[in-house]
Amino acid sequence: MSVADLLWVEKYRPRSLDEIIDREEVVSRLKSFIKIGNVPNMLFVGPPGTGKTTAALALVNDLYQGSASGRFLELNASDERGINTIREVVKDFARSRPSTGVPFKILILDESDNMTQDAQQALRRIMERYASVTRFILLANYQWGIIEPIQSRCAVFRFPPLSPTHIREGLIRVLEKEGVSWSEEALEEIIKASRGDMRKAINIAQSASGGSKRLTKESILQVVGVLHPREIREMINEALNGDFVSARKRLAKLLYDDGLSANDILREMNNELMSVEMDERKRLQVVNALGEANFRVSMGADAEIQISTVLAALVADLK
Amino acid sequence: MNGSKLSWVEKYKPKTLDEIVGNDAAKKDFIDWLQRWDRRGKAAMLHGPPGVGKTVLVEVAASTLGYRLIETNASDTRREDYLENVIKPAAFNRSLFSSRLMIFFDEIDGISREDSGALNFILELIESSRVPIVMAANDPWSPNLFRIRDKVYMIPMHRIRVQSIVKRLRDICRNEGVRCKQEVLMLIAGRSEGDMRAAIEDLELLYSSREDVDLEEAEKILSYRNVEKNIFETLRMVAFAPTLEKASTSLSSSEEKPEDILEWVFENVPHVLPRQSLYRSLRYVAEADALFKQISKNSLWRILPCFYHKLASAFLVAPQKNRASFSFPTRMRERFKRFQHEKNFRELESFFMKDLHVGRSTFRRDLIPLLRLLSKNEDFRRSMLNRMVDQHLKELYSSVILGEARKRFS
Ligand SMILES: Nc1ncnc2c1ncn2[C@@H]1O[C@H](COP(=O)(O)OP(=O)(O)OP(=O)(O)O)[C@@H](O)[C@H]1O
Ligand SMILES: Nc1ncnc2c1ncn2[C@@H]1O[C@H](COP(=O)(O)OP(=O)(O)OP(=O)(O)O)[C@@H](O)[C@H]1O
Ligand SMILES: [Mg+2]
Ligand SMILES: [Mg+2]
Repeated sequence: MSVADLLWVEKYRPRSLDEIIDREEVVSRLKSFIKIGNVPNMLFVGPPGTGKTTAALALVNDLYQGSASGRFLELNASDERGINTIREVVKDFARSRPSTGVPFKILILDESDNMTQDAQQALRRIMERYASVTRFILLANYQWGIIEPIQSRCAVFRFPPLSPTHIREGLIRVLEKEGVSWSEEALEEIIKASRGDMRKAINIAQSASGGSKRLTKESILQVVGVLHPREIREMINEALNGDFVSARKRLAKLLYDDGLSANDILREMNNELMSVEMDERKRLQVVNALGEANFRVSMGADAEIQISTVLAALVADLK
Repeated sequence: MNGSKLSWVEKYKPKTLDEIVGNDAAKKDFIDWLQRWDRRGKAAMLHGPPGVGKTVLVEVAASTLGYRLIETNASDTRREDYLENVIKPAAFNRSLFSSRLMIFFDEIDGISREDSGALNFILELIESSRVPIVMAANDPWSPNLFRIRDKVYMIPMHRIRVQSIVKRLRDICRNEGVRCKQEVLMLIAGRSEGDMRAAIEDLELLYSSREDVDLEEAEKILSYRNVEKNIFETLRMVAFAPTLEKASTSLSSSEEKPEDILEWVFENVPHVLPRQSLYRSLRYVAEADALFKQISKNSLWRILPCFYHKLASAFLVAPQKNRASFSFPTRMRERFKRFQHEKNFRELESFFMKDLHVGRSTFRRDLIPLLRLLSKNEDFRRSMLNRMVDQHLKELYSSVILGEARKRFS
């Protein structure tokens, strides 16, 4: 028994390209690949919960028509060990060439922008060597997190945040299947909090519905704060108030206790920094520090040390 | 603290042989030797690492067997008049009504080789004394002692086992009415390296002003003592160095590993610099970090001085606001705990990831909070546990997800 049926996001993930909401251009191109029976290496880029994994899995499913097992593999590429695993897996693929049907297998590499530059360099060679038997679908939140030579080997597909209308469509689809009723303002709250992230929207709906089968504005507001902890904003505020040590502690909590990735923290900080109130010259300095931290972390430097400089930039007063 | 109060090491100094923990063979050997002793018997030497009970064993054995102890230590033996006027008469004691005497040269490896007067005196005494002569030393192989070594009966004493130390510490805690956590006692005993004195001192340090200390706090307090003075000294020298060159040299000549120095600087910069300078300072630290990663990856050790320059600069951007408040790096202290925690996370996520088609970041960012919320519901929790075949997995789920849930929502 799988845990998939316990979580709505998974239970109602579209199985086929036809069920995917919006993303029309992507879907039509993917369908044309299926028609010709060949697929290029691809890079799906976009923020969380926008259908990247969904589209990749649906493509595999439609392509192999239900007999996908053994013909594709999903890997998480976020750590160094990942690259060796990938090498092994791909080697195995090469050995066991599928005799019937489509002459290649598909490797889905999740969070490939979390791979270090070195791992990406290694991946580049792997992609070349096994090009005849394997197609890669790289999933990433940021295009610039992927090194140029890999980008140039891939067809790039963009997955921007979903529009409120589409989030609504996806939500209603799930709620109806679950037999949950909703008030209009509850729906509005979810859509607002989701910021175009379908996973977020569905997760909020599931946790707010509890056992009651009814979504109200109150139940939504109750879970939103927990699902999206305000910790990053609090950390920024602490730094702005001059309390660097507390801010750094909170950063350590996010990194080590919650285990968040440096990329997620940096992205969230970036979002917050745009809206929080501060002197524009200071904002410039802070955003500059953020960029530097981002770059160095992607080169393998220490996340806590690098992000701390951003906090320090927030502390400093400009004369 | 009250000046007249005894330290715990003094207060809990064993009064009877039974109270002396461990080293049973040495205890028996020494008592047997004493009881066998006759005028032609040789002298005995207890030897072993510090704080295992050498001095105490001699003192307790003497009082148990009815000896009066004439005790000297390294500083007394230098004084010839003392040897002549106190020790000699005791050694040739003929008085019938005074109690039996025993002469004790404690810390005898402290005698310097040049002090041939004292050594000759002791050698002579060993041959002719009418009362037992006992010695204690940490290092019996010290060249100072080689002439004595062959003439005495050697009794080795060993480091005390962790369990024995823990037991003794627990007795002391009970007597002092403090609540002690087993893991804290284990920490103290483990760090003591078999030295009971050090263990009791650490115990007093932790509990003399508090009734309860948790492991984390204990580690924090004790790690201070463990750290070599060295790194504090280095940091102080760097922080107050007149020139960049001097500061940088102090860092590079430290015995700490470069990556550990980085940790010390990163921890302490915000403690000693004014807020205004933090950004400039931390940028140097961040550059040093990035540079070090390159250095170790590409074996660019010849540019290591640049790394030290950057770290030194981190301190030199501004005058220090605070003289001596360096602290032990949190990241070094927490390393093991964080490693364990991360391991748990990874085991748990490898279970969820394959069913839920999410990567590591998404799992942490979106799914953990979701699971925590949903797990408040009894039915959900049960269904989830039902899907986990592996007992270990259930435990992880309970500690990582539910444990947190309880804390947050109860
Ligand atoms: N375009 C879509 N149409 C229908 N459902 C969607 C769509 N996009 C996302 N969803 C829903 O949201 C969930 C998460 O989407 P998906 O796993 O594809 O996100 P992702 O883009 O891969 O995010 P991440 O970057 O975090 O991996 C899916 O299980 C599905 O239920
Ligand atoms: N075996 C033991 N059992 C109980 N307490 C002990 C024992 N060993 C040491 N202690 C405690 O440590 C204190 C110091 O012990 P002692 O002076 O005998 O050490 P030592 O072996 O002579 O060390 P050094 O080599 O440093 O002189 C004692 O007062 C007592 O409190
Ligand atoms: Mg995904
Ligand atoms: Mg002693």
